[in-house]
Amino acid sequence: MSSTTASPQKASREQFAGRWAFIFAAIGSAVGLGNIWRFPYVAYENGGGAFIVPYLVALLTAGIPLLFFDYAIGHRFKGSPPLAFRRLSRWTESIGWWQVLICFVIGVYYAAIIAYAAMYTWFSFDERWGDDPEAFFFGEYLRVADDVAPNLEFVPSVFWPMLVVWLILLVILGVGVKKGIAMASLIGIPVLVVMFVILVVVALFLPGAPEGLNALFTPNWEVLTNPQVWIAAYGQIFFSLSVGFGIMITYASYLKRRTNLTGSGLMVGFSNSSFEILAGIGVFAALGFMAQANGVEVAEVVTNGIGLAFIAFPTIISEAPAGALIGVLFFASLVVAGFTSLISILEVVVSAVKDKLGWSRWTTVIVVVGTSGLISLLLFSTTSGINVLDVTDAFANNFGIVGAALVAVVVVSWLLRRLDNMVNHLNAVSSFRVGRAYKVLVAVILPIVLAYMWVSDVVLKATEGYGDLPSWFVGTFGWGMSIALIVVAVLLSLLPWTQRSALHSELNDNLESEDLPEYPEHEGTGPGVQWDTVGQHHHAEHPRKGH
Amino acid sequence: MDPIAILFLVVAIVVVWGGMVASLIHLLKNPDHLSGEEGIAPGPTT
Repeated sequence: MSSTTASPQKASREQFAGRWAFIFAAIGSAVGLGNIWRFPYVAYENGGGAFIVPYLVALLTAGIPLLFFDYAIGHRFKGSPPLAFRRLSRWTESIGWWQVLICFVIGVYYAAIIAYAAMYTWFSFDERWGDDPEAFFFGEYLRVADDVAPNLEFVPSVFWPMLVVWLILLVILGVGVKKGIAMASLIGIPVLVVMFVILVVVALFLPGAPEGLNALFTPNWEVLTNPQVWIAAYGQIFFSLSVGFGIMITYASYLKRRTNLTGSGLMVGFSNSSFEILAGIGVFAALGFMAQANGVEVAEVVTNGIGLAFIAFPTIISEAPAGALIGVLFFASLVVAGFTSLISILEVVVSAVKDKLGWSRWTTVIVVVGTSGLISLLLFSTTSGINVLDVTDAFANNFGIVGAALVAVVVVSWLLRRLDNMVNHLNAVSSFRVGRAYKVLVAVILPIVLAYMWVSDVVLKATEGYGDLPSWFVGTFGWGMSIALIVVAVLLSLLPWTQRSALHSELNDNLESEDLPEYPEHEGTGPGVQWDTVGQHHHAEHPRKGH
Repeated sequence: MDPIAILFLVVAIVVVWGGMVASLIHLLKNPDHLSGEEGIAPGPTT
């Protein structure tokens, strides 16, 4: 039984060479900056050692179920988010475009952070930041303007590395799924793990490292009664796993029909969390050293995000024995982890445009990466870039990713009532069976958690604003951008699918392969898709044995 | 390091990395063509 046989009229979709290529690409996507600079801080702030309890609960009840949810949609409907949702139901295509546009926004600023990290890898050799890493980062390196309004004063030390990032992306995405996307992770993930393990070992031998680990792992059980701690755990799992905004839908669409989806998903979910634990050990061992070197408590040096990477770590590098080695390993890890994630984020956009317009991969990549790169350089390689980055990051993650994931699970579970069919699809090809408990998690628990996260964040930003930035600025690049994405998503979904588009020109062998009877087209869904018959179809064609 | 911190360091590693190893073993035991209801052998093993 071939899973790649095309009908005479239709082309086959690009495919990963095998499940390990897919698993590495999915891990490469999931393991990103958040694992290194977000998880350690979130764990420390929310119970230390006790955080492992809500963290595992969140992984098993939300992260992995949502991962399976994305896999089922992408694999069943073999398409980028707009195509997959279009085949699910004609009117849900806009959800897919919303996810694509979120990826576009994240992609354009993510490249800037990778460029910073690349330059700091270089700066580590001679500790360019001197005695005041904070003043160096915002002043000498980024040259942050006093006025937050976007300008065109380019910063060469940001512009050129960003341009290189976009050119590398162009090549990787251009050469395709097998030779570009999969190969980048098949090489990148082992390199990342080796570099980070060496970093952790070096950090563990620093004086003060045990105090840092005490701070991270000493449990504070009292916090477990605080709902915010549980929300923090769900938030960390959710943002870390690359779920809910189209990446896993896109990657799953490149799998052959017979792929063990849930078995692969468990591997991806636990691998991502395993790297987070490793990052926590490395980061807090280093922070323990920093605290001791400065004669203060660990609590006084704990930070996250850009503050951890570009202010705390340079301080550690300047004070630690073998500081240059620590610097190179840390920043190169950020570059590699960020790059494999950025590839997956941009591939969502490439895949969507390619599916809708029926262009070749190279044409699509040149247009999409060229446009994204141009916008990215105009907005983020200037002296005003860091403020725009700050606001778009905050809104794209919370309003965008959480909002789009919430809409997707509610629409599929409650409005379309397709969860049974999705479970049938997962069980038809997967070793780890899902059933009633899974449906409760996706249809009930996930919407509650996501709705709470989304509403509480919107209320907070609406009542208190965001940071110290002026309201017009947050209104434009935060609220305005977020709402514009939804409007543009709806408009894009109204554009017709031409005969050249993947909807009409690509074979979906889940539904139309030679050894399976073709489903009839019917009103309200894409061609050849009839969810209601999926379960019966699998049973009729391949009677279960041993059940 | 304090004993309680060491204990939770070990617990975190054993549970999460153990989960990864268990997932790997499960995956190796369940190749694609044998997995699920469409598998030519009984699919579910867990």
